[in-house]
Amino acid sequence: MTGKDLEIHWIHGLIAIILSLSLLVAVPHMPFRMGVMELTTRILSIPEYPSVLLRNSIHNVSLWFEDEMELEMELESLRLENIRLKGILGTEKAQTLIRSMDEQTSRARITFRSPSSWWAEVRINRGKKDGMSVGLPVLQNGFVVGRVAGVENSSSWVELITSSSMMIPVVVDETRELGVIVGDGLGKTWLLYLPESSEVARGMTISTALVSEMLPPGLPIGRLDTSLSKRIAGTKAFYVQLGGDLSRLFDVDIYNPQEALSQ
Amino acid sequence: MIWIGASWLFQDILQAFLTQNILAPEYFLLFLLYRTLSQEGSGKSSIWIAFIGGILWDLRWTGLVGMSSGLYIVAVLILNWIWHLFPGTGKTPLLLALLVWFGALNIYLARVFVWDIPVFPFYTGFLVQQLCLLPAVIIIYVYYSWKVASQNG
Repeated sequence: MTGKDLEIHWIHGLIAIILSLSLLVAVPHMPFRMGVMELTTRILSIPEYPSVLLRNSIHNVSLWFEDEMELEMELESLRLENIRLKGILGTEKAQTLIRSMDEQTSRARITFRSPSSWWAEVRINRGKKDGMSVGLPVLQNGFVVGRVAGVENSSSWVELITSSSMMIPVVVDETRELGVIVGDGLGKTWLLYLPESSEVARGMTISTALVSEMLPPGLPIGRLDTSLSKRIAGTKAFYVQLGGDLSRLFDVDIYNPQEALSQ
Repeated sequence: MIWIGASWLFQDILQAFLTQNILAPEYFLLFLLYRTLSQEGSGKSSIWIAFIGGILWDLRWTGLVGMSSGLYIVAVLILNWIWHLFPGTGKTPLLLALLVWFGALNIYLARVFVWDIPVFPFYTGFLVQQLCLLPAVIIIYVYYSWKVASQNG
């Protein structure tokens, strides 16, 4: 490029800059300014359309994900609230049941508890003459601790819930899942046959199930303690904290619905 | 010439995509500077292309008609002047690539100064801009190297 070319180049440049500055000063005062800008925008909006569409789609997708996350969180909080409400309802139902059972039970005293079968059976001072029959539920403070296994004239034998031969179909009140409670003969009880995907949580209440022919349904048994679990017969078993206290078993209530009905 | 028009349109489409978030990378200026520096005697037409491109940009995006055209023309004038300060042997592809990138970078800083963009979007926008410009600068470097080599060879 020669010196003259450079000179022309600079002259063109300076003219263009002066024009630009003039437009910068003059255009804001021109009445047709908005019309020209509007026209430019309208013309360019045609090639810009796919990009605007893409931007809006991305925006909508991100909003959809945000909404989805909010819904998930809301669902989770509702689920937890539902469990809490079920828990409250279960407690209220249990209290009502305890009150009605108080009216339908007869008190019996423990007369014998053999050290060799400490967690398996006890003898009580009520027998056939007192209306005892095999299969009646035995309660302590409103919670099932066993059932009548043998009846004599003036005494009966009660098989305790911790006995390894005792299996009771039960229901988890909050999730309505069915399982079976079994004792280990060592003072502990375990809930069996819940699926691996079960959503049971610590503190959920357990009561006798409708599917049982051994015991009437709805009798409270205790609470789940999911922090303790082990595998029994190839299935996951959860520890059940009994409502009754088998270490302080001095007297029990015998629940006899037939007797209540006859009264 | 078609490439310059295409780069303007691409920058416009990109700005439509990034609206209200980040300033689009200055592809138009990048390719305009490349044309100015790499083609002898294209200075005059480059100035008027810069003028028209800037006016259109302002009509579409800034509303300050004459601002972008002024900035573009100043960039073309100054970089063309710097480029011609170097002797023929010193006009390497690397120097050309650095100059066009330097021009685009300064226009971004000028825009930031004029529009008073807050600090955080400034850095984010700057990084995004430069990252988007980098491939174009590399393409310019490689293409000009190939062009020089084929002319010499």
